[in-house]
Amino acid sequence: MKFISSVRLAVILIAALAGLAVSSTIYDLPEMYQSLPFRILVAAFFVNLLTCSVQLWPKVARTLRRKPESLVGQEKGFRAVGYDKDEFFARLKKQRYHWQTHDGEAGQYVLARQNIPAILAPHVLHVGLLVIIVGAFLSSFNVTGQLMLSPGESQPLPTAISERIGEGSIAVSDFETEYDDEGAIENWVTTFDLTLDGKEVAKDATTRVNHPYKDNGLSIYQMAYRNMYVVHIEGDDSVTGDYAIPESQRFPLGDRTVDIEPMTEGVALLYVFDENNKEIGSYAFKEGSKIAIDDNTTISYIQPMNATVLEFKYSKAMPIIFAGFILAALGSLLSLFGRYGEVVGFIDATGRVSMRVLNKSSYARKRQEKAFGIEATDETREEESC
Amino acid sequence: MLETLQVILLWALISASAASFVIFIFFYRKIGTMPVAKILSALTAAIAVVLLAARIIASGDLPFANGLDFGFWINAVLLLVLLVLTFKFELAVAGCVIFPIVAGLSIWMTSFNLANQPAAPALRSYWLDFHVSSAILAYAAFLFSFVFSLLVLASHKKQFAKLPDKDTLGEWAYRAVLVGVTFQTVMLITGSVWAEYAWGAYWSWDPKETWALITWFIYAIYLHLRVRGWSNERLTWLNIIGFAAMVFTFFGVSYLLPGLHSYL
Repeated sequence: MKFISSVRLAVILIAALAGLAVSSTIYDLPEMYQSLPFRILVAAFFVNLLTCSVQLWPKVARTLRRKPESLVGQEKGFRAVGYDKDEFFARLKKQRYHWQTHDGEAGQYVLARQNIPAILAPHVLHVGLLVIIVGAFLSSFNVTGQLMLSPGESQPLPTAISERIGEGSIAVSDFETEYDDEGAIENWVTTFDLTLDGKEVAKDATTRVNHPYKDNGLSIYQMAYRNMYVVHIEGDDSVTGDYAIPESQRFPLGDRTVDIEPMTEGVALLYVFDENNKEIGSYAFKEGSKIAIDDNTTISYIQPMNATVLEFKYSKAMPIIFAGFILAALGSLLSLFGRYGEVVGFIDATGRVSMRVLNKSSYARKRQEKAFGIEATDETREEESC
Repeated sequence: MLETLQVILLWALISASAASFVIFIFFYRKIGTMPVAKILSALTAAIAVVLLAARIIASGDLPFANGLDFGFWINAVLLLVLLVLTFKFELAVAGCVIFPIVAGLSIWMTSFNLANQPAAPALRSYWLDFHVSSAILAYAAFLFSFVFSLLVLASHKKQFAKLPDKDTLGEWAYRAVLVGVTFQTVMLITGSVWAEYAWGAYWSWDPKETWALITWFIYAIYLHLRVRGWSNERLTWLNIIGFAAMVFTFFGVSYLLPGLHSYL
């Protein structure tokens, strides 16, 4: 148990995780993060952190709950200083200690603390990491899906999403590009209605980059957009009809393929390729254009059309992940308060002061002892079990 | 106009940093007590701050969009901290490491187009400001921790007899790592939150974010080994590995392992 919660094991596990991450980036092995060895390492790290936290939180709580009454009888181990109690309290104040006193039969006991939030820092960070790992595990049950829709179009929700939250559909009413004052693209916005199990749950809702639609575990992200051309194809019964062809993308038509590239407003360039992918013609493609692809097939320009690409995600883990983030950030920031330290003192009936500096860091302890004018000690560092 | 001013100031910073480096190396034994150290530290810091101010005015906002903007900030932060070390702690010798870094970074910055480029929609997020500003503070802290660690190694040599004692330098290196890890944590978290809102995934194992996490792991090991009582000398080597990981995260990943952060 001692080893499971130890700093030694923590170091080994962190080093192993770092080593795996290095190799996955160098050898381009993203699948490594789904592998069993990686998951076992993360699980072991979780157990190490958990056992460490379970052991240390009660100690921290005891330290913070400690009262000066607990010092009664311990004053024999304190060292005398050559100044009076007023000077003692002045020095405590100068070193930014907060203190409590207890008047006992033999004299007054003083328990002074410095940088109190700092004692919580590593422990809050550890809890934050534990919560993030739990959230990451739950995230593995997330489901996602993607849809491409044009304004005015309605589609059922992606299958994986429907299986989780019920049958539903999304109808896009508008897709716009927003520009800033200098004419640069600021954002893309999709306006849509959302229906779940026959009930409209969102009307004229919007999603834009950095501002996804979120409701009850379902998130809809503005992921991308596609420019397309609506065309009419005339030929065999199997191909005749209206199509939306994405720009800059090969589109098969029998033995041939076509590619529509944007040129200027209202005019595109249509490339035709034979079965060997050899270009056999290029044409200006605009309103009124009707171009023969082969002896039986023609393609007619109708209009350009934009389509929005939406990413759907259903996850109940995000609040947990975000709670972990808040705790981890808080724990980290608490460490900026400095280093937690204690001074315990005893003032006897004659006003003579004796004291002791308690600090896990020998460097900090020596500095504090110097600040209180007592000879530096070389006490062995108090080891934490984890 | 502001673009030309930035070019002039950038070359002034390169020249001043390079010249300062040469002078500091030449007089490294007594540079801490020489008035020229204070003059050069103040001069380079002033150029870096004016350069950053020019960039901010030209951008019309706090610039955090790419590696170039990062360079403006980190140069200013590094030189301001060096200024404090020089004036308050007579630790101008740190300039022997800081000046070549600033000069090298500034030379790299000249490869960018200084004209103001509109930010892509995904970069128009206030999470980006928190993400990049915490990265600047983390990198600066790790860099100074690296400098203090080098001074720990140098402190037993006669030439550096005027340096603070080894324990003090080790303590400074530790505190800088603590600050660095704090802001690296905030950087990773704000980056994750931003990615969640922008791309729908708080973590993608993109090479840049993976290497930022690797750097965080290395410094986490540093902190844990310090708890276990490792000496400052031994920790120095770990600090050097952490510094190498940090440099690789910034440059190596951007050029060798591009991913989502390839705009850097």
